[in-house]
Amino acid sequence: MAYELTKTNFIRRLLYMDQVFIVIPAYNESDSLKQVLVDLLAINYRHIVIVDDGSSCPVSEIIRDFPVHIVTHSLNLGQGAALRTGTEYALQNGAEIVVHFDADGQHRAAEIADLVQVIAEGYDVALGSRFLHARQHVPKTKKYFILKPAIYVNWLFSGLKLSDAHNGFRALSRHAAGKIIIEQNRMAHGTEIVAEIKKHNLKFKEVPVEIIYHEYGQNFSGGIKVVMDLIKQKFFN
Amino acid sequence: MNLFQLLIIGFLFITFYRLIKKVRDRQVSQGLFLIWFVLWLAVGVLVIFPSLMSRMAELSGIGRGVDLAIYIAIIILLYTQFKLYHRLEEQDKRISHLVRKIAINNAQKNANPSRDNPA
Repeated sequence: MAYELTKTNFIRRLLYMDQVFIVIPAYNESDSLKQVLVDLLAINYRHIVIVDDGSSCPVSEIIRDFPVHIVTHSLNLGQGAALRTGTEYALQNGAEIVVHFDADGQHRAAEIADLVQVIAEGYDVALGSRFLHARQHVPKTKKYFILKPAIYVNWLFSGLKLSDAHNGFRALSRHAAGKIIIEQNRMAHGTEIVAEIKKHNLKFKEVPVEIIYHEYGQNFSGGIKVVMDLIKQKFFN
Repeated sequence: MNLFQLLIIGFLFITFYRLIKKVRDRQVSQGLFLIWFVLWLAVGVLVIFPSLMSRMAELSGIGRGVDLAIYIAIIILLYTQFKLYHRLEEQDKRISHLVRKIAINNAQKNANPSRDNPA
């Protein structure tokens, strides 16, 4: 989505900068995280919340010189828990818009503005979708064995059918961020967030984003684990 | 009385001893003590009088005493397994809650990114 930098948009965007909190869960990432921070700070985002999810080498030491908020889990809990902690921290510090962003450099900092724009238009949630993006290349095996089945798993558990079920790039309004409670500590939180959107009747929109593939990401056994976590939650809680 | 019965009875004595010691040291609540006590007592009675088990099996329509014992054992095991699973899950949640709370509290204490107040 081309972001037109008209004068009003530009002013609006400057206003956002102070209210947008970018939450990045990090677990044993250093080089990629540094690059991500450089990209974000270049666009002048003022509130970047790194959640160190019990990394063996504390993130705070690696990125000591960056002007960011660091929240540290003393134990490794999982990405879901890290996002929850980061979101809660952001809300406590006056965030109007909370953006979930990845530490491994697969999301593009420049596209945050597209998601934020959607929230500014009055939506509660903006969800990134790689399949809506015209130029996106997705590895075939990943597409047909993981991402496409995931859409149906997601639909089964949440009741919403999205074009891209497991995209971690999203923006939440303050209202939505307060409503959406992530109980799943590990990776099943993607589906959980969608289920919460449906439950609380939040207004959402999918936004095309480009995912930069460095490696395979979530593999097949990881996918099975996610399904097991979802089944456990559905039937035992 | 055969060897098997003697072994089991010996085992039961040890179990009772440990159970009583635990309730005295307040490691086990009185309610839980009672449940375990009755359970092990029942096991003891049935081991000494196996015919009782057969009678019960007949009455319940299962046929063999051993079958009844196995069924009951499986049910009890599954139940305890289920309870344990829940306990663990609950504990997991509590730990998560604690870790997240500590993390946020600590972060709030030194919440000012260096851009706002350059050191």
